[in-house]
Amino acid sequence: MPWLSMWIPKDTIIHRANSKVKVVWVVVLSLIPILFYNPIFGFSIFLLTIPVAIISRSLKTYLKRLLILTPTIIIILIFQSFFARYAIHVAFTLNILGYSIPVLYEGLYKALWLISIILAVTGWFSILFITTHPGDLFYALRSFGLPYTVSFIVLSSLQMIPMMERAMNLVLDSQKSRGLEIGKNPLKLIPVMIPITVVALERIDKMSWSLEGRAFGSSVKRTSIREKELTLLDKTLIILASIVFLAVIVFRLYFGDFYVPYEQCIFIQK
Amino acid sequence: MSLEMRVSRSYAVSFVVVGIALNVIAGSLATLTGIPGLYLDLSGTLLTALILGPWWAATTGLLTNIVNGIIWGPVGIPFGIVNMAFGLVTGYFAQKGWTRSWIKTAILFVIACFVVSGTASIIVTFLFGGATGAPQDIVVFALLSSTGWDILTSVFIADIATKPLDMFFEFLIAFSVLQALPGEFKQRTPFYKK
Repeated sequence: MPWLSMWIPKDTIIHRANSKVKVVWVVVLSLIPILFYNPIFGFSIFLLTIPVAIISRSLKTYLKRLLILTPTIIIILIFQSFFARYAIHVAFTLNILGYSIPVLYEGLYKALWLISIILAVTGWFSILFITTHPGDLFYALRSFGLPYTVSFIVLSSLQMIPMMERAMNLVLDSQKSRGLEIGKNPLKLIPVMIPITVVALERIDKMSWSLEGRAFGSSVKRTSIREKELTLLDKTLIILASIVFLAVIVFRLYFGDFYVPYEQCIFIQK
Repeated sequence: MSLEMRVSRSYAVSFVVVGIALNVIAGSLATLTGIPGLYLDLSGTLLTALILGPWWAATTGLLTNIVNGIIWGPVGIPFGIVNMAFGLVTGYFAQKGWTRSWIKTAILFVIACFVVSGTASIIVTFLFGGATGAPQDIVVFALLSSTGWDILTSVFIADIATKPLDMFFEFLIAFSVLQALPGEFKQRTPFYKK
């Protein structure tokens, strides 16, 4: 059955790495930029994704995924830099079409901080999703305590969506052959949605019978075809991630959040 | 006897799987219309709420965004909270029988608009600095530059102004689908009609 996900099967060291190790490192690396109110941490952690994407031979796919963020990044910069009500200092003034528009320091700073977090978190999770089979990913999450039902629902949905898409295309083609034109009228979606839902409800019946037949909800410990023993290297890497995270927390408590106020910013002429 | 006891767990789990798929499918159907602000990605959650109640609907909502995150990228995952809140509210009121009267359904529609816009605005403002990359950002920009409101207020007003269109079609599709269902399936929609 086909899977619908970002995962691209390849034979690289990142793809072969144990999914538990990847999950732990991605979570740790995503949390670090949130702990500090300084965009340098986020941008540095984001830049680390580039060599990993190159090693996993997924750089093109990875960058395509990140390009989706471009409008969001531009709008964050505009909204925060020009309209942040909490900002008190003007970093510099932009001249656009003869208008002088002040760029607010605190707003710009917060925008860069938010962008760095979004890039770091999105970057690392994209790498995780691109290099890990969903089955392996959810096997790892189950071993960290995610309920089996949740894992089952997500994995089944990833298989169900392509099937439903095929049903959708079939219904769309059938309705079009009967003269239906959707155009810009959402009401025309109703004759498409009803047959899709009825098909879906029929699937529910079959699926629930098959689940009942396979003792779904049984409390007996499950085994998984995706089960992988942690090697000594895997265990070392997980322990290392935990040590890095603890060290970062201690560093944060000791040195503060590294916020750079207007007066101390060396990039702005006062 | 509560509904949860009448519907088997495996049926509910299967329904959630299909509810998530319906959310994704309806979302891609909405793009066919090309209408800005029309997402229809709550239809499956609403159907689950009307048939299985708040908790399964909330599960459908939250997991829809996780599934979408795995397919398209993780940016949309935090908005699972919006979908979850929508499922909780509609499921709760459906359980109380509100969807059996048109007036109460209309009130539920308004409540749902406020819940969805409220939770979405908080996420958009605090996690994404006010930006979604969606067409409604233009409305937010216009409000910010002309009214002097803060980002949270502007995002909320822009969202609540555009939400009723999407929500109207979410409700219309879900209720039309339920109305048109064959009799054998209607028996399993106790909150919608006794």
